[in-house]
Amino acid sequence: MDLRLFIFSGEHGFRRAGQAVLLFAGLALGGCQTVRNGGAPEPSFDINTDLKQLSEQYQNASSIANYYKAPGRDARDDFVTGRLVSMDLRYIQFIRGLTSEKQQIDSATDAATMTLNLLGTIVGSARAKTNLAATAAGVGGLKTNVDKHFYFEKSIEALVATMNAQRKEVLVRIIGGLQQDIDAYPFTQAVTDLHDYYAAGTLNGAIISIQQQAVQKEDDANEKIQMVRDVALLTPAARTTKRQLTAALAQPGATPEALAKALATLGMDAEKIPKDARLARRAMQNYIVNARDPAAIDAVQKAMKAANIL
Amino acid sequence: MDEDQYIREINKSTLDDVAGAVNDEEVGGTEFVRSTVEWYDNAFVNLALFRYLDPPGTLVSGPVQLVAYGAAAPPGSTRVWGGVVVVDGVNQAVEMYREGGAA
Repeated sequence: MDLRLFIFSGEHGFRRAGQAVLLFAGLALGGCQTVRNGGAPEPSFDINTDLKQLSEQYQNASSIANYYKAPGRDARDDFVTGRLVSMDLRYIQFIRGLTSEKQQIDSATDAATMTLNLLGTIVGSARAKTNLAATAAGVGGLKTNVDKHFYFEKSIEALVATMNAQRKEVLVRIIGGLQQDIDAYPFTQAVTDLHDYYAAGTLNGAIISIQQQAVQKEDDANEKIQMVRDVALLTPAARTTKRQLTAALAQPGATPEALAKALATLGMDAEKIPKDARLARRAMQNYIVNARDPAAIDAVQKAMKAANIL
Repeated sequence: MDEDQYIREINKSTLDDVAGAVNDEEVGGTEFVRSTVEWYDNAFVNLALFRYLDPPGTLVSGPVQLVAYGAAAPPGSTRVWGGVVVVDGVNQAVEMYREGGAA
C-alpha cells in the first residue's frame, strides 16, 4: 500500500512526506476514530502531530481572535482560506478511512482542489496564493494508490456521497461570499458557513440529511407523485417541433374555440376544458410540456394542426 | 413549491446531457429555476425545479450550458445559476449560463 501525504513546509510551500507512517497509522485506526467521534471527523483544529506543520501554517490566520486584531476583507479571506484548506485535507483523510470507493475519494479531492484553485484567484495576499497553489498540486496526489479493505462499504457509500454533496453545496455558498465585500458577506456569516461546512462533512450530518429528505419526501408525497422522472433526450428535430408548438400558443390562432377542439382531441373531458383563453392556453401547454417523446409530440402536433392552431 | 412549478428528475452521464435535458424541458415554455441533489429511490439524483412562463407561449431567450464551477463563461451568455449536480454518479459544482440573456 503506497500511501502518501503532502504537508506544508514553511511559508512558501509543502514537502512530500513519502511513505507517511503517521497517515498510515491514522487510516488504520479509521474505524475506531469513527466510533470515538460519533461518526464525525475530528474537528479541524484539534491539532495532532500528523498535521502539525499545516496547523502552524494557518493557525494564526484561522483564529477568530486574530481576525478581530485587524477586521476587514483580507482578514476574513485569510480566516476562511485557512479553515477551508484544513477542513478539506482532514475530510479527505477522514473519508479515506471510511471508504475505498475511488469515485467518492476523487470527488472529495476534486472539491478540495477546486477550493484551493478558486481561493487562489480570490484572495488578495501573494503569500496565500503561493501556498494555495502548492497545496492544490499536492491534494491531487491524495487520489492515487487507494488500496484499502472495505469497511462498511455499501451503506457507507451513500453517507459519503451525501457528505460530498452537502459540502459542495456549502462550498459554493462560501466561495460566492468571498467574492463580495465585507459588508455583503460579513465575518460572522463566514464563521456560520464554515460551521455548516464542517457539519456537512460528518456522518451524523449525512444521516440527518437523509432522514430529513425522507420526512420531506413524505410531506411532499403529492408533489413527488407529480415529479417527472428522467427521460431520454429529444432529437434536435423533436426539440424544434416542441418549441414551435409552444410558440403557437402566443399566436392569434390559439383561440379558446380552437384550443377546446385540440384539447378534446387529446382526450380532455369536455367539462374540464377551460373557457377562459389564458387557462385554455395553459391547459394546452400542459400537454406540450408533458410530451417528452417523439410519439407524444407528434400527437400534440396533429391535434393542434387539426384545430388550425398551427 | 409554487403552483406554477414542478420537479423533473435529471440523470445523465455528461454535463452536456444534463444541459440538454434542461433545454428539452424549457422548449415547453418553462424555465429552469434550480436543481438539488437528493436521495430518491435509492439513488442520488438531480431534482430540477422548473416554472411555467407566463403568458403561455413564452419561451426562454436561448439554451443553457453547464460548465465546471469557476470555468470561463461561454461567449455571449449570462450566468443564471450555480450549484451542484450529479453527473454519472459523481457530484460536481457547476455554473449554468444561458445564451443570449437571463431568460
